Amino acid sequence: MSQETAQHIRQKYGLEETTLMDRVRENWIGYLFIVPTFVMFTILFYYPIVRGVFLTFTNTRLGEAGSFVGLENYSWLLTNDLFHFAFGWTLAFVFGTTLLQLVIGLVAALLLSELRSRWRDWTSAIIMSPYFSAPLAGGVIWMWFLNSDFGMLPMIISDFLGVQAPSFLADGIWPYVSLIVAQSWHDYGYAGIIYAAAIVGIPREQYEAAALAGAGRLRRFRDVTLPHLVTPTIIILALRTAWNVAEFAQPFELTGGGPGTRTMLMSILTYETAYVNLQFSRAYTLGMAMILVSMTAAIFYVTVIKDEEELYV
Amino acid sequence: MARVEFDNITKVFEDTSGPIIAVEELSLDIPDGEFVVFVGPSGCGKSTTLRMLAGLESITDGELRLNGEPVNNVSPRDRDIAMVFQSYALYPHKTVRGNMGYGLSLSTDLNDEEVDRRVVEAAEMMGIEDLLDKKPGSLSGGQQQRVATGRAIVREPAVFLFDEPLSNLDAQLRKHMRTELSRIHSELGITTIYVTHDQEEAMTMADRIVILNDGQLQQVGSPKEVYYRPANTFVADFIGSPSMNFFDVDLEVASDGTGTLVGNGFTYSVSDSLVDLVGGEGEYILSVRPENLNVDPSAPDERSFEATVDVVEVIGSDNFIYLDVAGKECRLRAPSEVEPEEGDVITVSFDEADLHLFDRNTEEALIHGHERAESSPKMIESEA
Repeated sequence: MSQETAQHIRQKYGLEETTLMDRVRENWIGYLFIVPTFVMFTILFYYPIVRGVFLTFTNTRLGEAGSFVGLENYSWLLTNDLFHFAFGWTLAFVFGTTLLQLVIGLVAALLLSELRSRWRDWTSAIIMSPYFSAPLAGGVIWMWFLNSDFGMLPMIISDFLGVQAPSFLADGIWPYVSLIVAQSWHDYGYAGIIYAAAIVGIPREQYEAAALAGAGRLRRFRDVTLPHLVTPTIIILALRTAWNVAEFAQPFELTGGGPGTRTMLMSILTYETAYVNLQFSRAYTLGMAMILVSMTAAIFYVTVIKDEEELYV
Repeated sequence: MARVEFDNITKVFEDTSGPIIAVEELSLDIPDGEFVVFVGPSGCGKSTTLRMLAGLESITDGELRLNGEPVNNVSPRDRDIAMVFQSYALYPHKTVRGNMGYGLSLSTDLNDEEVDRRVVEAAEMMGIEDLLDKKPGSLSGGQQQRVATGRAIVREPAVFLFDEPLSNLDAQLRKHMRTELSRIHSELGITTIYVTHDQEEAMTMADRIVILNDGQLQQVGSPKEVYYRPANTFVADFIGSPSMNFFDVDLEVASDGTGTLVGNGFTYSVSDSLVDLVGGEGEYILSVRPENLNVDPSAPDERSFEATVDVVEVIGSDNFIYLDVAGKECRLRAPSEVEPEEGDVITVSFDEADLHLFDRNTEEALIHGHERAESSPKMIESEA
């Protein structure tokens, strides 16, 4: 509407342009309700973030105030070999776990959708249960499963196959595989829940129409099911990527970044820098790098989701 | 092009509460090219019947034949049947072109050019050639309906199935699409089975109407047949709007042989020929269509009754007058100039040729008084 017609309408009906104060006066109860939340967020969230960013420019250690050092922490970070390794391994870890969670979650959801409804609730609760277990408990379970001295898997391999199992948490490529598999086991349920909801929402008639049109089972999956899963996939990817970047408890319990520093994730490195070396400012700087990874992924997904919206128009 | 035969088809659903009979021993022969409408209230089994024909539902008992071939165990994709769903079931991620061409490219070995040519042809027939590159999400309900119909006709199947295809459209568009679907049927001549709960849709489109209730076949016949000669009270009640008036009556025959129908609040003397046809005294249901009732102050007492006006609905061309006859509602359709006040007591009469009598126990039709009814059960000769 042009400025002129707006003016004209206001004049005709004797209306005033509403100001910010008018709106506050009109909706003061609403504003009143959000004040506590806003205050708590400021104290517990916004302030620590700003403070954290500020800390990265100091040499603060745990327990002692530091002084301003400019970009020293960042140059430390960029020249640190362990950080380079942790950065790369974190990317691989995130990529691997996210992808595996997506695939296992999809398969679980598809299997569940084939079940009769009275079995479905309980089965899904059981299948999804790893996701609801505490990450530390998951770590203990996998430790019992993989440990070379007393783990179940090495026992089975040596007893039944008669070969010495590799040390799953130490030898060669195995610790990487173990960490990715264990983490995927813990979190695939998240993808499963979202996929299951999406699959339930697909209209049955679309499958029937496709069947009448001559589409077989696989074809129906490709032409009806998959297109309906694009949006959920992007949502799962965005959230799981962010979480997997920050994943700490289970890897920390299983290998603690070791042997040595061979499975050092950025999250574990951050922990060690902060609480073992007590270098708080450097830990915060590491945290910034993790945020950078998550944000990059998020921006990428948001762009994709925008394109995806055009899928239906 | 196909003939469709239902031979004693039964469908039983197994529910947690036990088996439920959805369709019971349905037999029906639909010749090639006919437009058949299945009509009935919700849950009467009409959609289940359609879905069995499509192969989307298994058949519990009986044989289903397409062109004489049993197809009970033939998968949907091999039946050469196209179906239009109530929800349209368009693929949201495909364009209109993609939606319409999907079945063709899957079930035939036509090349892309040929598929596209037929899609454009069908789109022109449906008047949606401008929408071919749009996605269903950006179309209106009416346009989506056209795409769904177009997707069915492009395949030139042996049988068309429509499952309440117009239910989601507004009244005006529904009437328009009705004529359009009839036009398409007469152009293509493909056997069409159409399911609806709307008796008006059934009356206007069908060559033959199949009326179902509780999974059982009530009557099969042309629109006129089911209107003028309903087989039982269910059909009589279901077909026609407003629906028929029913009165419990006793036929009393005096010593001189004259018969009188005695109901609660009225008596109506009938001709000797009717008494003969019915076969003497007994308990019946008398029914008369609202459009056959007249407001007639000069009607003879023995052929009329008094009623109190409850509500008058003005619909323009006619007035629907709702009457109270000894506590029972009675509907009357009068010309628009007849507009009594609420609370008025009026004299209502009807022609004997317009009455129907049903057996009160079986609710089966005994007599159709209407002169336009052509054959048995019995018909009253028009009187001198």
